[in-house]
Amino acid sequence: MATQTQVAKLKVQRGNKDVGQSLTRMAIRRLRKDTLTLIALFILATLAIASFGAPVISRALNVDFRTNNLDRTFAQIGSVGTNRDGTTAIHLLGTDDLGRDHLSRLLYAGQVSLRVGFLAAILALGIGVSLGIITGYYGGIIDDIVNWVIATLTSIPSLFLLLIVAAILPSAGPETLILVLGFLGWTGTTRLVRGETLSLREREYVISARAVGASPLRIMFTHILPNLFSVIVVTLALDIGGLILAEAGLSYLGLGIKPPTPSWGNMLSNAQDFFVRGIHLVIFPGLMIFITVLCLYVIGDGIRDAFDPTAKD
Amino acid sequence: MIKYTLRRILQAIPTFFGITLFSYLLMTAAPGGPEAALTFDPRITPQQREREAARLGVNDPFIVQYLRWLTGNDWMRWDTDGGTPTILGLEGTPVSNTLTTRDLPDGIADGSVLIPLGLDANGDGDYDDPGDQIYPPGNRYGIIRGDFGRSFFYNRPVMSMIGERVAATLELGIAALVTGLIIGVPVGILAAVRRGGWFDNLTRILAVIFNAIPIFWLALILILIFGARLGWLPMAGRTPRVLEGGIPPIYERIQYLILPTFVLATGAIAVYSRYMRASMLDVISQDYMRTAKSKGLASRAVWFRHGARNALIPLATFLGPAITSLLSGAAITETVFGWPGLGRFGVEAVTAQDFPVVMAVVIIGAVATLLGYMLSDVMYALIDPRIRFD
Repeated sequence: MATQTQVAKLKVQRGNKDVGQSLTRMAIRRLRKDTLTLIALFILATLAIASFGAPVISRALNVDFRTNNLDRTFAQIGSVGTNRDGTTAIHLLGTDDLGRDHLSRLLYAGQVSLRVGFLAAILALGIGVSLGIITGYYGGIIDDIVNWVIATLTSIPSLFLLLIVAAILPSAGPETLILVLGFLGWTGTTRLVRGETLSLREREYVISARAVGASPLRIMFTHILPNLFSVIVVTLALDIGGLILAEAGLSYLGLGIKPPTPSWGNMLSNAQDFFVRGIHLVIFPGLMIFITVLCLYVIGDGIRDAFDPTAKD
Repeated sequence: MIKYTLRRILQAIPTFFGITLFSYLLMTAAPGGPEAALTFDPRITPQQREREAARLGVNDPFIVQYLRWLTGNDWMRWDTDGGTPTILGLEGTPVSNTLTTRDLPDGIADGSVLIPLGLDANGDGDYDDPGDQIYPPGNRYGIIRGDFGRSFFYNRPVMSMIGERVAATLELGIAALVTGLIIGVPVGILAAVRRGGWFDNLTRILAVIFNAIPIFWLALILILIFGARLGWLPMAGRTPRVLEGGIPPIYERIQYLILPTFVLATGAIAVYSRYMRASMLDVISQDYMRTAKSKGLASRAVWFRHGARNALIPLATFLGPAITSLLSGAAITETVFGWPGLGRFGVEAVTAQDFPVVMAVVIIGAVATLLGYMLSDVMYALIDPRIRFD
């Protein structure tokens, strides 16, 4: 009986492409078929390339994101103006209250926001994953202490936590903000990774590795960490989105990135003053945040589904 | 049940101390410390500055300062420079480097050491040593008894300023929480009942959108449309501008509440609808649902009496996280809408470097969250007896 079922199973499996493929391979194959995630990836990549190619785009349109031009404030979308040196400037998205080109400011702001979100997420992830593995693997007093810190940090409303740090660092640049967001944003990841590690620790291959005398460090790095890959990638995508939102909120309140350095958040700081003369100044910065974060959330969800071993093609 | 509640309260105590310790650490890390803020006058001499620092007790060891801030100084002696400073009866332990060199008390209150009342500077209970002096106790109650000191900026007691603003935040927070539940729960149930249908997909997309939208931008766009363009709703504030005697009852200013409530509730709607859907799907696969269906109950009775009521149970655990996210959201929403609540007060205090106010807002927010988590745990244990015996 047993052999018959096994043969039947093998026959079924031969037709199944999953056989002999690693989970990562399978996930990539699934992702290639996931149109929504691919679109989100494409949009995000376009935004990132445009942001980091801001100097090129600005030069092509002959505009500058820093130069004030009080003769041309609140120019409308698609208007053409004259620079002080007499050359023609194309303001694809108009100009702001100080006559600066809106599109180039948006793109430079994108550099700041994307960089802050990405690097802070990497930092938070690094702290979160290492603490999660260590506490999950060792347990005991380290676990208790880290859990106490997490309980403390999570019981302070996140924005208040950022506010109190912003109060202490009044003249914070993007680098400080990255550190602050990173050092305060690891708690969720730690909880997640700790839980995963707790279950991975009891798997047979970890026990056998321990039996043959592998050091704890080796077990954590070569046996547990690779199994956390999908969790880490999904968390990274979602964290970048969340941290971009946090940065935008702080900058909007005047406590994150300070002008004249543009960020999507601080470009909206006095948006209420633009309601009559420049609605484009209210719409576009928020739209950029929204699209970026939406893409990241969609990508995160897509990767999670792709790595789900119980999902069917 | 009482045992469980007590255990839960005991578990919250270390977290409470963590919160206060963390906040106090951060505050003392602020550039210059409190004495820099108070002795900003450029004409001040170094001696005066030192005296001011001694008066504030900023040269004391960290733990002494923390304890004084936490528990107040009305139970300890208040002048100490001169003699040998003593911590809590530990004889002869110097706790202040700058003050031990002086020989006699100068009679200026400085509060730099903890000496319990009834003990003199040598730790004796009598006052017959030469130079003994009876010192007046301090007048601070410490944050544990609700004394957050005076605002640097307004020079008023922080607690009374908080009291003036707490009602506005509660009003907005409760309105948003109720809105989140009223919209989120039915949406989640319907999405689960019609799983995979257009409504399910639509709400899934909307939930992602509500999560990804920056709430201050959503607020701005709504103000732009409904306030500035259509003129249907006020653009900011909590009451009409002309006021005579107090705040009018809530039904007379409901139009001021609509936009901020909706903006603050978006996150709750998104979370509750997704959570309710998942919970409902769990319940649907239960045996009693099949039994109810097979005995021929009307499908409405099956879904609502047997399904939704059980699916609501896990929602009880959501009060704690809901309070944190509402308070975080309130800081932004209140600022955009000029809502005179705690969140905006905190943001303004950060901008003004008004540390006592920042501390108070953060600690009150954290304690509210802690209570929220505790309450939802106890509620959950009350509903689901299995939790109590783990």
